[in-house]
Amino acid sequence: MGKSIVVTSGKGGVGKTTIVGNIGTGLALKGKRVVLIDVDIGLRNLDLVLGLENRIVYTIMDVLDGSCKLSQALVKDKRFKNRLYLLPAAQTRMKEEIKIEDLRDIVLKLKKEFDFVILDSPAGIEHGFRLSTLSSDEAIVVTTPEITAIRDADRVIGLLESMEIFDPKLIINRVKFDMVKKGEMLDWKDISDILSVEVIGLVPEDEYVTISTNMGEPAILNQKSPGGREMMNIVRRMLGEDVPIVEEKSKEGFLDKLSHLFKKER
Amino acid sequence: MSFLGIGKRKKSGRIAKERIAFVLYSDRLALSPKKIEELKKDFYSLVLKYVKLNEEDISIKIRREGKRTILIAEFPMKQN
Repeated sequence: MGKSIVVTSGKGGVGKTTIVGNIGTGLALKGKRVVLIDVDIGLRNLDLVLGLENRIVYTIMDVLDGSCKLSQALVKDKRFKNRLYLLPAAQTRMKEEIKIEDLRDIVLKLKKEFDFVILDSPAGIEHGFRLSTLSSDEAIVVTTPEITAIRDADRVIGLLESMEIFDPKLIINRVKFDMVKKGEMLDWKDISDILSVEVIGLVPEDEYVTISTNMGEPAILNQKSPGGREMMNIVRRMLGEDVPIVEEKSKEGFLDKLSHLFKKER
Repeated sequence: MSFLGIGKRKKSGRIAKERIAFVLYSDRLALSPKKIEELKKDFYSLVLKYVKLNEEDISIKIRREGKRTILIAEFPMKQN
C-alpha cells in the first residue's frame, strides 16, 4: 500500500504545481511508482509542467461520471516506463462537482497500485483544498519567504491539523540567497521557527525552472540547475535519506565583496 | 550608500519577522489586536485579586506542540 501526499499552500503562485511535477518526476527517477492527481479542476496546469498536455484523453471527471475506467484516464509519462502517471483535472468543470468520498475512493484504489499518490491542491482553503486534504495521509506545505505566503501557510497548517494531518513538511520556494545574506529576506530557520514545522526543501530562485516549464521538462531532469538539484534533495529527504538543508552560496558581485572588506575593517 | 556599511537602516528581513510574528499571534488566537489587549486586562484584574502584578508585563503567547495548540499567559510578579 502506497501513501498519499497533498501539496498545498493557501496562497496561489508560490510554485505548488511546479514542485508536484518535479518531486513526482524525481520519485520516478528513484524507481518509485508514482501517480500525480491534478485537483485544480477548472484551472489545470500540472499537464503543462510535465509536458503531457497533448496526451490527455479523459479526465478525473470522466472517471467520476463513469464515462471511462480509472486506468484509461491515467496519462503515462513515457520518459519513465510505467513509473510516472498523471490523472488530469477537467478544464471545463467545477471543483464543487466532486464529492469528498468519491475522490477518497479513487485515491484508495491508486494507493494499491502505486508507491506515491501526490495530490496537487488548488490555491485557497475552500472545497478543492478540503477535497485534496481529506484524501491524503500526509501533507507538504509550500511557501515563499514572503510574509503574505507565510501567513497563508500558517492558516493552512492550522486547518490541516483540524483535519487530523499532523506534522506537515515545509518547502520554501524561490529563495534569493543574496537577499537573505543582506538581511533583506527572511531566512529559512526563522520561517521554520515561526511556523513550527520541519523544512524539507529550500529551493533557490532559478531562471532554469521557468525555462524547464516552458519546455515541459521538469527542472529536476537537469541536475546542473540549482533548482533541479534541490528538488532532487527534497525527493531524497522524502525517501528517508539524511540530506542536510544548506543555504546555497550566492555569487557575489564586486560591490558585495568590497562591502564585506570594509565591514571587516571597521 | 549602504554597500559601504554606513547605512543604519533596520533590515527589512527583521521587520518582516516582527510583523509576521505579531500577525500570526493574532490570527492563531482569532482575536483582533484590540481584543488581545482586553484579554490581557481581564487576566490582569482576575489574577490581581490574589497576587500583586505589573500589568504592562503580562504576555500572551500561542504555541503549537504536535497535536495541541496552547495558550500561554505569563504574569511577572511585582518585585518588592
